[in-house]
Amino acid sequence: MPVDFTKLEAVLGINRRNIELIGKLNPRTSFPVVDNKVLTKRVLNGGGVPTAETLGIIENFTQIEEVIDRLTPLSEFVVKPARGRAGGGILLLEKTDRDVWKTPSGTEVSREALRKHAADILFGVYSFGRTDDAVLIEERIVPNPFFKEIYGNGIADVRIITLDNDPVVAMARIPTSKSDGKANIHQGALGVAIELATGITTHAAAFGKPIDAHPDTDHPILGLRIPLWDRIVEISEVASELVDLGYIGVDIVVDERRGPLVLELNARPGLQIQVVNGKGLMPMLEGKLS
Amino acid sequence: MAMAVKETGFLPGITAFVMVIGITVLVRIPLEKLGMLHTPKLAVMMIVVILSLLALTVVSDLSGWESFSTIGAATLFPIAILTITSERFAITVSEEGLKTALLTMAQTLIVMAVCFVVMSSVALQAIFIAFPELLLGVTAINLWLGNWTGIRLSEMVRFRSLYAG
Repeated sequence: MPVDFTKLEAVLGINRRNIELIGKLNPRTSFPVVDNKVLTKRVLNGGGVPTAETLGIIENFTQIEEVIDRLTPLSEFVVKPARGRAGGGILLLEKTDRDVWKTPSGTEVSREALRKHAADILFGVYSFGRTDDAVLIEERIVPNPFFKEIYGNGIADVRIITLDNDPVVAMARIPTSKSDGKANIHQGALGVAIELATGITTHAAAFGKPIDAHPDTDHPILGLRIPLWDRIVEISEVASELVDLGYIGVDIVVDERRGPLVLELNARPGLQIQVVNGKGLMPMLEGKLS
Repeated sequence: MAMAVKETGFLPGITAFVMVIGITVLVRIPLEKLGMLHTPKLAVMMIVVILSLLALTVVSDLSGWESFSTIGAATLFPIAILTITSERFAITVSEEGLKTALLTMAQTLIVMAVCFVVMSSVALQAIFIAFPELLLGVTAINLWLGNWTGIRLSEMVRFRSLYAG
């Protein structure tokens, strides 16, 4: 295979990311805020950045019963570990006619099972044994019809990487049947690169290979304009200003009713966005790297 | 892990590793049905691991298959790490499927085997005992590698679509 060395030099590798970006721009003292969704939301909301509404927080075992009692009348909600990674331990629950909930894939979750899941989170099952994890219960996001039309299951999001609070690259992550409704590229979600200035989709990849339509629905995915794009870019800037981190991934969902909401911040954004873009990140970073 | 295998001998060590993972995956199924909490579940799994290693030692002793009796002698065999590894394996199976879990395990086994071969080299052991200052050279290589900001070999494969001419 012929190698284009200019293109090869444009590729950002994990070593350079760790040493020159995360190591130099992201002070470790700022990690705790982004690694804990409860703290992240507090900082974001304090600075006026909208997030999904919090319905309850469980920080120790004695609160489990009481919080589940409060959830019982609700028709739907989401349960997350505050310190979870890559979507582990997240339950989307919808009430059935009986006294049980069910997940999007139809698995029934009894009150017992929910109590056990909350206890598992507190025990650190989803945070590599950390005993200070908490259970975060949030309202369910209803994706904007734009994303629902491309693929109806799960929730798509937009990842914007900012360098010194300036957006440098963006992509949408759209779930597929393979990713089981999750917007995680490594689990098989479709990545769609977005031009920052216009919000128009330019390139896409699934499982590391370029693609031009959603693999399940065949819905075309290139040349589309992401709804509320200016607002999405704006909140990514405000969100990164609120934390003392120079290189972060801001994950944003577009709710049908409330518009763009920040889902979480990532202090170690991945490199797969380059494959989604079809080109290396270095040229986009270089003008701003001192 | 490779250190532990060095202690027990290659085949017994690898057998024990695979056996422990296999047994804990099986034990985890009924424990999961009981809806047990995480820490007590780990404790039960650890007991099963210890008992199975003990059983392996006794059986090998009775059957006269000498090589496996070293498992019991290996005080360094990191049982706790092994149990946590098994737990992670089981979580990977449930979250990302058996295929991913087995692939990860295969990678671990390969790395273990390579490290074992390197560490077992008599020539290497002799050289480093005779010339301990060579370790300074190893340190230098590591310091150099520690500041290497270029592309890794694995990334040449991962990002090949980005630099094709």
